[in-house]
Amino acid sequence: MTIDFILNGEDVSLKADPLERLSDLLRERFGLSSLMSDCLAGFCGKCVVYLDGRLVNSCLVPAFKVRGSEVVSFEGFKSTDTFDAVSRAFNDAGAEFCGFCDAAVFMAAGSLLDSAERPGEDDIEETMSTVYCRCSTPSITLGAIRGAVEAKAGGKYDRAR
Amino acid sequence: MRVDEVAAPQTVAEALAILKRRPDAVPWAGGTLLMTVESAAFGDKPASLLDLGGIAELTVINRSDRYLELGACVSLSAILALPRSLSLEPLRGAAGLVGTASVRNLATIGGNVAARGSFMTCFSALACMDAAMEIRDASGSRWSSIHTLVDEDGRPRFPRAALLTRIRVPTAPWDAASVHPLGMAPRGEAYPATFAAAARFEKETISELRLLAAGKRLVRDRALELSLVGKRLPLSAKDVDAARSAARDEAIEAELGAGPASLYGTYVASFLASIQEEGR
Amino acid sequence: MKSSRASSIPAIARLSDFPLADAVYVGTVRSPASRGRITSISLPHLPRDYRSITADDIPGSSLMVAHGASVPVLASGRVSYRGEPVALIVGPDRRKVAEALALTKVRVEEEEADFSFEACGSRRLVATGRLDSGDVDKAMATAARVVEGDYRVGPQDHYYSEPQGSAAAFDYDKLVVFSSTQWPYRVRAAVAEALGVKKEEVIVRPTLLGSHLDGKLWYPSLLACHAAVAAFLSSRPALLLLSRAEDFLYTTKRAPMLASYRAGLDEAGRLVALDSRIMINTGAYAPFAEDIVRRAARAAVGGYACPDVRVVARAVRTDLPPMGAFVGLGTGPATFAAERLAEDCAAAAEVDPDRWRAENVAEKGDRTLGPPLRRSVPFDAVADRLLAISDYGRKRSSFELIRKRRPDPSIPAGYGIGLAFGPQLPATAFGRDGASVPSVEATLSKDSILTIRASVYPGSRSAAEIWKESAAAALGLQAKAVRILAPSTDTAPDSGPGSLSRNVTVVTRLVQSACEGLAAKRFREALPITVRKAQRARSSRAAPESPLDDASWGGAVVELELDPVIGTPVVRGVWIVVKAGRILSRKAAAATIEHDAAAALGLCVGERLDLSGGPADLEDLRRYRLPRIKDAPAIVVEFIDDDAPPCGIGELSYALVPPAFANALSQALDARSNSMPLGGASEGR
Repeated sequence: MTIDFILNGEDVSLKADPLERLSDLLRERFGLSSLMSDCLAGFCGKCVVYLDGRLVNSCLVPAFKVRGSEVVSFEGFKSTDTFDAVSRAFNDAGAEFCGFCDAAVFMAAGSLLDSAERPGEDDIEETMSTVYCRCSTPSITLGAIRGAVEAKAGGKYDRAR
Repeated sequence: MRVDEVAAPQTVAEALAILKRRPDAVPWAGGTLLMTVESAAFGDKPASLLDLGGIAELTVINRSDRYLELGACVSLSAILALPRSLSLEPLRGAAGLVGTASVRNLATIGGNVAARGSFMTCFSALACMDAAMEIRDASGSRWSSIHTLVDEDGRPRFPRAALLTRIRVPTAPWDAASVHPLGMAPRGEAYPATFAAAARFEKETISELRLLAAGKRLVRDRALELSLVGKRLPLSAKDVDAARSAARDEAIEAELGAGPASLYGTYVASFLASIQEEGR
Repeated sequence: MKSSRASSIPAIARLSDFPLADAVYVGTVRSPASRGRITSISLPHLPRDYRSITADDIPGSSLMVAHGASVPVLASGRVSYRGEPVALIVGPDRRKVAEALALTKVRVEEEEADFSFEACGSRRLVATGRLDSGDVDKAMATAARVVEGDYRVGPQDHYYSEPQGSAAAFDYDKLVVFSSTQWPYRVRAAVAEALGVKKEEVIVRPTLLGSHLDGKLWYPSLLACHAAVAAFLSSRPALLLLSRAEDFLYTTKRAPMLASYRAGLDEAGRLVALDSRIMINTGAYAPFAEDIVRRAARAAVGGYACPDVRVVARAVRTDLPPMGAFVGLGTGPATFAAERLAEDCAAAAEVDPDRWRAENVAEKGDRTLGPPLRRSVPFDAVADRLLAISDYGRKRSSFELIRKRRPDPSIPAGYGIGLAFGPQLPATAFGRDGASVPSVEATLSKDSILTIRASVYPGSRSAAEIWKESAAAALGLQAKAVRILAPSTDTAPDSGPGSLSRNVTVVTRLVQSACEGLAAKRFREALPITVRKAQRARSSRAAPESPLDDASWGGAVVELELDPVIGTPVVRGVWIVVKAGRILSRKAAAATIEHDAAAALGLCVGERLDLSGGPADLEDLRRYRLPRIKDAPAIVVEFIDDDAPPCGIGELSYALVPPAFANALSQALDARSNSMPLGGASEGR
């Protein structure tokens, strides 16, 4: 079937099997190598994209579900202010990643900064746990996000929230 | 699963018309279960899909004094984002047990409730809360208790060629509620069974009690519940132990597996023991 | 060393980034049986541009030499484990290759498979490591108390950041192989052998490793051979990427270990005799078996003094997929056993565990491991700080009171705090094999740009900064004038494997040494100048050294409580103190220790895999629970100041957190917890 959607701000159209995974489409048809197609079960989180503004596992999204939707991958996310804020936060905290899950971690962090409500501690931990990351240091990653949330709110971060 | 048709209705009426024409059409909400475990059940035969994502009324959340009405396509993350002031335990706890945050952005309450192979996490919580389901098909729409989705054998029974459109959850708060996964999924099953419990007290007695386990089958011993309703708090250790054994035995008989059944008994006992502390 | 012309193949960071234009995908046909004789391979009709490859098609050697083992590139005649590669199917469409694989049938006349390892005949022994001193039997006979225990560590999956694979493509007259490998020169040697070409005709470009937990020392060579043979025979670039399921089911896991100990104590509780029998399941083929048994034997006594010791470590070949290297190459499970035993000895002697350790650590001159120790084992320095920051003493006493005074002994005490202490052994000669001498090159150009060439990645951005800063300091340059060339076997010398913290202990020193060499020549010779430094072999005339002399040391405390309903352990805190020579970057080192501790906790509780009945299946993958960021407890890391040369720290958390956890759990349960992971690998029990 023909799938028309918006990808990283541009209108795109392609023919695909209705059940073809969005993760495979993005990697193979559009060459978007940032996301990794690994567990194919919504477990590892390395394939996350924003689908109509929500952080989702693209391996769980079949092609037919993106018709008329807006998809943003890491390649599109990189040109946003939120990406800059996340990068700054991770850099300032000295966070290091292995090169495989970075994109997903950044996008998970970005979804927190972009959420309408200020994320609480539970939200931060739950959202950052979306990505199964074997390489980063938990306190540094979470500390960086807390700092970014604080910077965005312009005030002191209240861990009791 | 092989797909030969994908329909994308914009209204429930359109969806029902499609279901009338193709009763075997597979309703697709978030699709998290269909993309992982449930598609295997379809094998290689061609399937028709009914994409519910374009039906706005299925994502509406309505509140009244006594109820919360969730459209079947309301995501689990939307449920978790509802104000804390709304008393939604054990549903909130159950929703939080499903997958990760990004999976919950896709997974819907309807998809979780209407799963065919097994009762999913939210089903047990909603059964505890005596939720009602609006089921619509060619002959019209009706509200029925969530318990009608359970057959005589305790297995899922979702009507064919029908759509789950709304879920109505009473919002009268429970004095105690609890939900836990029952260990790891047994070999051969994708998800673990879930324990859910809720209780209300009145004048230091149990006025209402729900104790459930939901996996391949729903386990609920109404006789056990009734035997404890009206009892004064705190319950005696003998009553708690008897409840543990009864619950475990019921779960074993329902073929939940020795491990999950034992855990079920443990959680029942723990729940009953904890409410005796709160009732004091 | 430098390449003579620009490559036609773009650089890639990850295997999954390999350019797919004109490439073929490589799928693996595998044995359905654990052991037996192949009777037939039925392939479907393959369309044009698709082909199959069997052992008969391999142009060079069909056996790959891998660290003491000969591993078939493709099995022929017999199979030795379920999932063993038997053939390849190669073609331009990934889905069609997958369809062809599904239609391929391998028939095997099955023989009874043997997965057991805890006791076995000599026929299946592949390596033995021993440590002997004194007369153990005599000392044990006169000991005041004998403590016995069986300690088990089960298999664990590395769960790589990217499932393993390889890619290969011709670049003019050379074959370029991309491999996520810790040892690129080994990959080169294996591929050259398989193709029957000179080593110089093969170039290996390592891709990002991600978290490897030492699982990428030899297995990538096998996959590289597959990709290389596919590229060679199809004359097209070839990409082989295992699925997560294939990686989990068929690539190496931590070799399961059973360590059976008897410890003789005198009246005061001091160790007088130690008798340990260690059995290690190395699966099929058993590469690294010698290294694993040797390192396990050395780690089996921990840092303790004992005049009469007998440690026998044996590697057993079974019909499981190859088991093998995990962080530390055998030292982790041995440390688990030693530290659980220490706790059991303390209990038998009725002294506090920290006091027992303090009274039994080896002092300067101790000969437990053979050569005399140059320095005392620094237990006091580590423990003083560790016990203070964790409040171990007070908590332990409180939890002991709870344990002893609980009204119902059938209900667990519920609270526990556990201590573990031990070394990270130096890499010593690991990585030096025969003529291969690990080395590094540094070149200073006319415009004062310093280029470092090593065949291993620094390992992290911090490690790269350390190289740059130390190199810059040696030459009075700014760090931004230093570049580290992406490793490749055509541009960098063989620096040995990126394992056992060699990046810090060997390669970093070689980088410094090369830069010092440049500094010495800089104003005497014309630029550009290149200096190569090699790891010097220890002189055979030098006095033998104890392996503990250059060890780094650490202590870990884990505090936990049991869920009051279902009894699962919930970790409340982890404290780790390390003494590892001069720390090159405290921030990076602390991050490493903390990260490793969080990962090690996952290894304790969630990553369960029981292979006692046979190889893993997809259910095991589905049930393999990995920790997430929200599962990490508070982890506190401190370092003891030390002027000694930098030692490795990358194994310490993996070695110490599991036994500290098990010791805490033993207190909380009031029962010995002698297996890791918890509730999983009971290995024949």
